[in-house]
Amino acid sequence: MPHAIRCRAAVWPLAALLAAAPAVLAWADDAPIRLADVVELSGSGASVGTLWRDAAHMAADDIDAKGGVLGHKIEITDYDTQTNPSISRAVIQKALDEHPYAVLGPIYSGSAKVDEPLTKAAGIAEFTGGAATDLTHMGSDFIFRTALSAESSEPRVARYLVDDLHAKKVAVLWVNDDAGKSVHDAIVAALQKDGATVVADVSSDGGQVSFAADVQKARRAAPDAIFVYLHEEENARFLKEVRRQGVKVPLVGDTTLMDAQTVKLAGADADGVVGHAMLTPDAPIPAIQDFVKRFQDRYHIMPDHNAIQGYMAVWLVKAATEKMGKPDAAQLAATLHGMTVDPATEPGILMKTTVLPNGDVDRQSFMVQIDNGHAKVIKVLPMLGS
Amino acid sequence: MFWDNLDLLISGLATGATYALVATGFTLLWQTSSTVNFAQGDFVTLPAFAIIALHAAGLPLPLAMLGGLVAALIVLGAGFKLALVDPMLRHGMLPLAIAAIALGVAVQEGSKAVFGAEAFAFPGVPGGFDLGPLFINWQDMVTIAAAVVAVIALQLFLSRTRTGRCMQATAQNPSVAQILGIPVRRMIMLTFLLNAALVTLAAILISPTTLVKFDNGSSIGLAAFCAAIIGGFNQVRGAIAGGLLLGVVENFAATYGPDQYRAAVPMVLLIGFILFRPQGLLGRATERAV
Repeated sequence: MPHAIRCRAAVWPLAALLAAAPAVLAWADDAPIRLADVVELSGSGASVGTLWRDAAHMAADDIDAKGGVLGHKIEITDYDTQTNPSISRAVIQKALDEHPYAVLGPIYSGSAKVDEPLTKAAGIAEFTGGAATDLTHMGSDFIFRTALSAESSEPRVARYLVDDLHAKKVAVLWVNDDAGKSVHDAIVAALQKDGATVVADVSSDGGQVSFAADVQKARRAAPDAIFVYLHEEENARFLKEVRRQGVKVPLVGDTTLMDAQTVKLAGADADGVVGHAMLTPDAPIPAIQDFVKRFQDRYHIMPDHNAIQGYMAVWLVKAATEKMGKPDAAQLAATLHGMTVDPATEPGILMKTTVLPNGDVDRQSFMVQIDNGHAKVIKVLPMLGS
Repeated sequence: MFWDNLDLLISGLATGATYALVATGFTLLWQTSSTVNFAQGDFVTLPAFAIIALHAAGLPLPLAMLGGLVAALIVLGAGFKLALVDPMLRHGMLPLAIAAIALGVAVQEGSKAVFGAEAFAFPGVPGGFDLGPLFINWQDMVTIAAAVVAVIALQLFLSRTRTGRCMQATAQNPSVAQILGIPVRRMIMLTFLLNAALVTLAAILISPTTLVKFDNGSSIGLAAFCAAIIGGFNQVRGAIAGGLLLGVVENFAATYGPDQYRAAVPMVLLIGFILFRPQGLLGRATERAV
């Protein structure tokens, strides 16, 4: 009997809590929209995570300065994945326990991959900067990219290598992590489809210091061009080694090779590299130029594609929420699928952006060449759906 | 093929020379104060950041390097010994080792808080020369030469000067050294200052290649620790041999072995030496009463 009394005593507060839940969960008129920013703030990904975080906070301030989202202010809480998937899983669980409206990040595909089942189970939209192909093939309706996926980027690069550079033999150097593996698989498949041969396939480690052996392996294969996908700091080390070994063939890469951080660190060694940039602070788009200037004024550092993605993610949340007419975390993901946000109506989105039904994103992208330490857009590539 | 291998050898020696400098610090501290400084790799990043900050503040590079050295002597030499090693060592080696690991984390996070998470370029020696079909960087040559000169000077200092011999006596038996009138505490302090100077030199030599980033110390520290074990933890010259061997083997393994396993090479070497030659390449086998 005492046990039954204890059970009844425990049931009443629980019932009261459940009864009050709708009221607690409903968005009060002045309740802020709380976003959990789960990104790489320490560890090897700290530089990209920090830029993303800063840009997301800038977007929130910009939105709040214009009256918020349907009158609601945006409140962002930052969580550090430490660039470690297992820690990322733990912190995203903590973030979800606090019932955020949406999750921003992570940027690294490995972390996004382990977080995805949790946001799916919670029914909360997650905006990741990850480029790994399988992120949007894992059966979640709640995952959204801010980056172009490898399978949509790399065919554009392969086409440039084969059609513009007439490369028949290509050496592929890549970083052996989730994003690198996806890019590798996508570029190799695209090159083979376009009739080129991969004559050297060299993987490297994140944080690798010496690229003497990697460059030599690629050089020995006598390629017509070298495709590179590494992280920014490793790109700089790789470029220094390439110049030291006197490699003369064209160097072509994806977004990270032309990133402002790579160019700053590699200096003159970056001159001449060409590549595909899904987003670039050098894009000939006035809204992006305005964002870059304001970001530099505020943080005294050059933003990169990660910063632009962090900024866009918050504006995507705003656009979808305003389309719904009220903040509704449960419906946010469904609203985002298939939605197109145009800067003509929502200037903060910077570029016309379509969220595809599987959570991938479609936008214009750019072919960029580094010239005298500056990235120059040499070609604007249309949206895939255009 | 010959030229390719020569190229790998030279760049491996350059990388290995910086491992050797950091590894030498490991062995010095171990010999004189039984300290295994697991923050040694992170010690390399601090002078690099100090030099960048001083240079950015307007000091010419040589003066900035001098400033970095002074800062390292104060913080990483005297400060490290007085604030961490002295209070912890009396509790045994394990608490000190754990405290050093914690210090490494603190150094990383502190560097990130002050300088941010992005990497910084560090000025190096520009240009190079042609050797057959190879282009040899002056930076690599300077790195190898500076490390070799530093280590020879250190060896001469330890073996040919009165202070150096007092330091060796302290390393071999501090109690007897004390009885003989050697100022043991001063000798130990001198070792910590020498270590600070070595990591500053390593920072100047390695940073043009690795760039300067808050978390660079982890990989450098691990490689140097392996180099010290491989060379022989109780011999300065062993640390040199271990560092150079490790740098060269890493390069050749990455070229001729599978890419995916290159990170395991130092560990495989380390395990091999522990199993088959625990005293290391040039170390002395020692006995211990149990």
